[in-house]
Amino acid sequence: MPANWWARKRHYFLYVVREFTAAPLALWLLWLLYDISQKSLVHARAFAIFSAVCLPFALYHSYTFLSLTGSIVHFKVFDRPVSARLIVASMFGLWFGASLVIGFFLTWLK
Amino acid sequence: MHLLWWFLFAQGGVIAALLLPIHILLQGILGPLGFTSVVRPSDGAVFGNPIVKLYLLVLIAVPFFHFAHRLRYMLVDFGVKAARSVPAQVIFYGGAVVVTVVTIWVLLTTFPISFG
Amino acid sequence: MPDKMVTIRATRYDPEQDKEPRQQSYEVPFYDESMVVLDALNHIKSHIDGSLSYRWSCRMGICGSCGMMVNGTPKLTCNAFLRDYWPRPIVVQPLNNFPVIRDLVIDMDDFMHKLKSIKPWIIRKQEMPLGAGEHRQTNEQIDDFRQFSECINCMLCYAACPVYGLNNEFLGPAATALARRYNLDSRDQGLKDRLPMVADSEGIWECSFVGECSVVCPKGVDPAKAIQQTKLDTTLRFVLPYGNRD
Repeated sequence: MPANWWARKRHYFLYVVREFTAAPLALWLLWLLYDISQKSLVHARAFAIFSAVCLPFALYHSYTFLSLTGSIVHFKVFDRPVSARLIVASMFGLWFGASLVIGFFLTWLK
Repeated sequence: MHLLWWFLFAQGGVIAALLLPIHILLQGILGPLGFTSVVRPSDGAVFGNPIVKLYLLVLIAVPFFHFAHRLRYMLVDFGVKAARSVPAQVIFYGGAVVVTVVTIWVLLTTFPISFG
Repeated sequence: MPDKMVTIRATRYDPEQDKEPRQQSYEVPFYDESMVVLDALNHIKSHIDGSLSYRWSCRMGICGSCGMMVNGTPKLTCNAFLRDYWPRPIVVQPLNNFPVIRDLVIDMDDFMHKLKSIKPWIIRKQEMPLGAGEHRQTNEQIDDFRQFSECINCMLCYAACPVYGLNNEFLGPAATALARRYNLDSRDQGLKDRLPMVADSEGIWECSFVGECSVVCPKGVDPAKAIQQTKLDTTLRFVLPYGNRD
């Protein structure tokens, strides 16, 4: 296997990007944890720029992860298998709903 | 053990996928830049609430098992065979455990638990 | 009117003479839009160079013999239409991730070994007596495993899988999909017998869901789905109370 196997096909490259999203998201959560421990938004401007970089990675993680749940999750309702498309649609709906709820709490609790 | 790591990877992935984007958008971008008023780490009333603390523990710690698993296998994908070994598992998942412990400690010590 | 020609660049390798594989170009007449790469290879062997070695049989996408790399993608050469590549040259190489025996022929022992290891047959705790008649199965029960039974053992998925490419011990897509085919078969009672191979550290847990296996599968088996569902089922089986296990 050549060392750059992942760069040779678009599908492989997107896979590596998908896996890589773990890194910026981990760093973002660590920064958040640090802010919580300091009881303040440390370096607010830098945090905003860093967050702006992390957001596309977070969105790509969500999009790919939730899309793949259709393959993994399988169950039957009244002896008929639930379609993968319905499962994926529900996951995206859940994402949307959760974002609304959390967004509400984050802005309303202030 | 692989079963456990995969299970935590899956749970962490779901939590990160469903919750992180909105947190990053509001607490990371719109809040600090002042576009909307967002909960800040200085809000004692919010961060003292035990339900909030529990939520934050789940939000921060569980995805780290997802990140640990993914990053470890990314090393495998790049040809680092040692990443499959037991010491590597200890380092990566142990790291996630460390983050969990640190998160618990931070949440318990910054603002005292209150229902205010 | 001059014949339309297509260039085939095939890998040549004779282990008794060559130090390493090389490519040889052939010009093949492209006289029918329905021609496939296998037709071109057969033309080369019949009319240009009889020493070219490759596997093929049914020429209609059901035997799984003619899998090769066509312009870097694992394909059944009987399913790769010249019209999709012409006028660019078509590079035909032996299937990735397998040792090469000669030219386009690969050593498939590893796959055969793995296939056998997951016991691809109905396992019964106790055979039914002949007088009891045949195993009865509804269409719904067959639907449970039908997709995974479509595998023709062509090994394109192994050629596509980077995990297998990096680690030859990995059980791999087809073997796992077939294990699942039998585990889901209502007649089968052998799930526990297959578990050691499937739930091994070299089994399903090595898969990182790249998904390329399912992309290249010519029969729509979706081995990636089979592996992920096996991960989920194995985890649930571990967690749920005894009564819910198969």
